[in-house]
Amino acid sequence: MGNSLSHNSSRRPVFREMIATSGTDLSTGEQDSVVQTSKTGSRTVDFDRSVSHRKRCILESYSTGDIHQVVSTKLQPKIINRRNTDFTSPAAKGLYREASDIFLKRKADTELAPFSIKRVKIYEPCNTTASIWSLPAEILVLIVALLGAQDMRRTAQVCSLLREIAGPLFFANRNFPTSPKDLFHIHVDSHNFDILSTWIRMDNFRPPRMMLCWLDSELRAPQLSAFSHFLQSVPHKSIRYITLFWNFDILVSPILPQIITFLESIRASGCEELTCMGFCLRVGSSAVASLTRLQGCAGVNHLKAFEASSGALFSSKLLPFTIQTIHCSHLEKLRLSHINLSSAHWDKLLRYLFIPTLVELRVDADCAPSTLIRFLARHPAINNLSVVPWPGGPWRTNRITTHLTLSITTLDGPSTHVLPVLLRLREPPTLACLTLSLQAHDASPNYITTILQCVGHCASVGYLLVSLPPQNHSLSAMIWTGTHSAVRVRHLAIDSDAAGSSSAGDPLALSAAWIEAFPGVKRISMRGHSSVTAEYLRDIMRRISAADVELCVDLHSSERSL
Amino acid sequence: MVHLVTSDNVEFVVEKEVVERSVLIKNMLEDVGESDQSIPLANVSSAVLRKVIEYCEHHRGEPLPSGDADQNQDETRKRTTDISEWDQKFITVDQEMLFEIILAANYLDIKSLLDVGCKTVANMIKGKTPDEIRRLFNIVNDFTPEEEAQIKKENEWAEDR
Repeated sequence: MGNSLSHNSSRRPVFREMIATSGTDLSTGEQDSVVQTSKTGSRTVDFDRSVSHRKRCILESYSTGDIHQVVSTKLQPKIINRRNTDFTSPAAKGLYREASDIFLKRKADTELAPFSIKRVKIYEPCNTTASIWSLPAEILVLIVALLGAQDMRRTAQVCSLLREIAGPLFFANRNFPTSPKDLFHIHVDSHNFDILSTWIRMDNFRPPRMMLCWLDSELRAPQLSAFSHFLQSVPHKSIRYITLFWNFDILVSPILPQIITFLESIRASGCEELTCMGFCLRVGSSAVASLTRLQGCAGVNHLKAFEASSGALFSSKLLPFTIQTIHCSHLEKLRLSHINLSSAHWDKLLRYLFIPTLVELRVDADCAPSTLIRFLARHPAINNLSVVPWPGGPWRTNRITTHLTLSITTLDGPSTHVLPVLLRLREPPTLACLTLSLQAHDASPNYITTILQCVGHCASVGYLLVSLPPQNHSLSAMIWTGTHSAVRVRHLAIDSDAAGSSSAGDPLALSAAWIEAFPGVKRISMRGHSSVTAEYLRDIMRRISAADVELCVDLHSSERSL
Repeated sequence: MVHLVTSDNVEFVVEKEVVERSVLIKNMLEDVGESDQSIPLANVSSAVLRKVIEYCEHHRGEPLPSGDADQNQDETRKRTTDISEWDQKFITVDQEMLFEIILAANYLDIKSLLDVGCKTVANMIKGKTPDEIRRLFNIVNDFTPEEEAQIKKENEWAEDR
């Protein structure tokens, strides 16, 4: 809008002439007046009764000068400010309509509100009586809205006024979110990457803090270069978080080299957190075995967190990128999950990596506990460890005796990995938050006893989340009555959501055993399915909850109980 | 019968059924009631009104789009710029008349005619380069050289150039 108001030198004379007429009229101060300008005799300005004070003020100011100045001083100053202009806001729309009426209308109709100027004859650039500018802005918007994306883009290049009209419609047409409320994070998919460079020229552009991008299988090289160009155009480090998803096999994509360049340009853009998630189950071979020496560093970047959740990132084509990213950044968080590495490859990879700044680590359960412990021993700063239980297999109790000097506060994973770590934690323990993802093969009373003992060592644990396994056919074996822990677990959360409602054993009954094991608990949250009736549930609750326990129950009754 | 007087003081006598395709006049007649007094249409010239009446005559009896249908219509209208054969022939006029008809349809509130007009202008724009559009509508390119350069740059990435 700023454009149309401030840059339209070609149309301004039109307007001035009209003003000169109306100005004389207004100076008489009459409420309703019909003035015949004697000079030419052909111009008639007819002010209706409905001309409000505000409109009168605007008209008055027009006679003295530039409309841009008029609007910004006499009206709402914020709206016309070029940087804050948002065509979609109702205030701006209203103002725009008023302005466009003045510019565009030769024949202002009595029906339309903004300026009730009837039959204002103004200077006409050529002798045609009706041109496209005879149409009010509303109709221009209607017309442009009928166009496809390509024609809209071209229309936006015709002149500044059409640009103001076509621009917002163009974004709306492509489902590109540009309104300011969305701008903390923005979701842009690859088919919209080409719009980014248009968006950056818009008056209402602000660099988003976070970008979520889906790359689809129809990804083309120009889209990637448009995105890279966008990253280079915004101020360095203004975009903090970039998350990429893809659901196709990027390794067989014909534009794999461009994808790698694209990833490298993101890494160099100064963003702090890069997340790459590939939702593509491909059985490929990893190239981790070929890691021999430290690969060359491609310059420093500002990444602090890197998530590589795709096997593709460990293939021979992408491994150099992955390793460089890990090595040349001062990573505080590293998440490697669902990457389908064998335990031998995990061992190779983790032996190879050394990241002194690391405080948070996530790995797959495919990684052997011994490998993990060895890695942890080299990284004493890690305080947040999580192990993704799926798809890891059962690990036998290992015999490593390394002692860890970790100060872990948050630990999350299957018991196969949690136990060895817990057993090696130094005293006094700092662990505050423990999440156990129990697996079906954990269903041995020994495990629970051991965990209870471990937790018993860690008097610091205040939050325990137990997540029950999906198949709980052997769960009855896990109920271990009579076990009491001396731990002061304050908040116990039991998540049996994954257990489903079709299982024979009732997760709630199991939960009861866990709840009984922690007498000091002050707050219990439960989530999941239960086949018991509400009455039975209340019975259990009454039994387990002593005096002042806070209960948060989010249970879905299974249909059998209804 | 309804008497209409145009801006150039030409009187038209039109059947009520025909003229009521204009929501403006329909409402006016409902408010004022039947009378022999002529309705002045200060914004419409006789040449334009003749065309508009021709349109209304042809489409007489067709249901008027109701307010509720507006939303759906807008949706379906969005992509299609198809115009029926008769309408196509009817709207084959010079640019000046086309814009006059659109303005009259807007003023008289004849939604279907406004649609036809808008679609026609949209069809004129379709497939043309910015330069062609400027020549078509006699539009002055008012971008500064800097703005021109920016526009050029942002379109380097457009695939549908």
